[in-house]
Amino acid sequence: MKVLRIIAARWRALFHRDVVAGEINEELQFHLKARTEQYEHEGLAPAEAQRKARQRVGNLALHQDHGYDVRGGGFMETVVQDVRHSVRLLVKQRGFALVAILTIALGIGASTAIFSVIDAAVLHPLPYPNPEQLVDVHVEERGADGGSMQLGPSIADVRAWRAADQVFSHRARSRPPRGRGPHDPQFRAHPGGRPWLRPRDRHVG
Amino acid sequence: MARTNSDQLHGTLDMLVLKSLESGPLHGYAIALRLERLSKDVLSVEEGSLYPALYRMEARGWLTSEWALTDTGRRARFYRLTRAGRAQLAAETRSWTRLTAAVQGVLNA
Repeated sequence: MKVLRIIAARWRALFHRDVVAGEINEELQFHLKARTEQYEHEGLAPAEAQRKARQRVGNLALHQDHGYDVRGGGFMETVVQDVRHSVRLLVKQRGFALVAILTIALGIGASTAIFSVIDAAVLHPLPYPNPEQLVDVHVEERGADGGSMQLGPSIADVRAWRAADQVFSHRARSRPPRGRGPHDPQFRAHPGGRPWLRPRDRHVG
Repeated sequence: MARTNSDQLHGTLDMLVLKSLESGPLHGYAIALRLERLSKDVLSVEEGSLYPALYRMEARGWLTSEWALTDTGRRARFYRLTRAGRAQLAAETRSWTRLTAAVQGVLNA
């Protein structure tokens, strides 16, 4: 509420400068007249009353400027002046402007790229149903010398698991052997971007 | 009678203006007049401080203002205390009373 009121006052002061300045002026003029009348009422001659009132009230233009500043005009005028000044300076010093623009552009570009990657890779869940249940399965083969080697499961492994496995609702190879046709259909994304699953499988935990 | 200078008045101007509006809306000149009368001319409100103070307090939501006609049929801007303004007046009066009592206590020692 308060912020809105301040913004409204600043907006009004900036774009309706004459109205705001006029209001302040009218208010001060009223004050001056009332003060003059008071002095006349106290027995001074009109001319003397007016002189004394003017002396008492002081510099109207100064009061008006000060009032205008307080009512939000000063700040906004300064901002507008600053913006104008910067634009003029940038137009004058093309080289500096170019470097500044490139620097900002590179900064924005790099930040956007980094945060896009983080957003897609870390913040968003994987585009599969129940992504928290997704598991990457490797096959470990132990050699005779005691060393071991991690391999992706073969198509035969996957088929065997499909037939017998009680743990997973679906299994799929994420990297088909080179030159061996399309991805495993259970892993393929459908046109809407969600992974393809047969309807009867959809609610299987 | 000697008038206090505006510096001494500055910190208390807001409180005095709020106080003068407690009994009903007034225009700027009437506020100045009332403060002069009530203080028996000890306090003189400078126009250069009064109006900015009014605008500032209006911006803070302590006052609202509207143009209306005076008793003599002239257009003037009348200021009215808001609920927040009343709360502010109460708070400032409390701290002022505490301060002056403390100063008085020191001076009387």
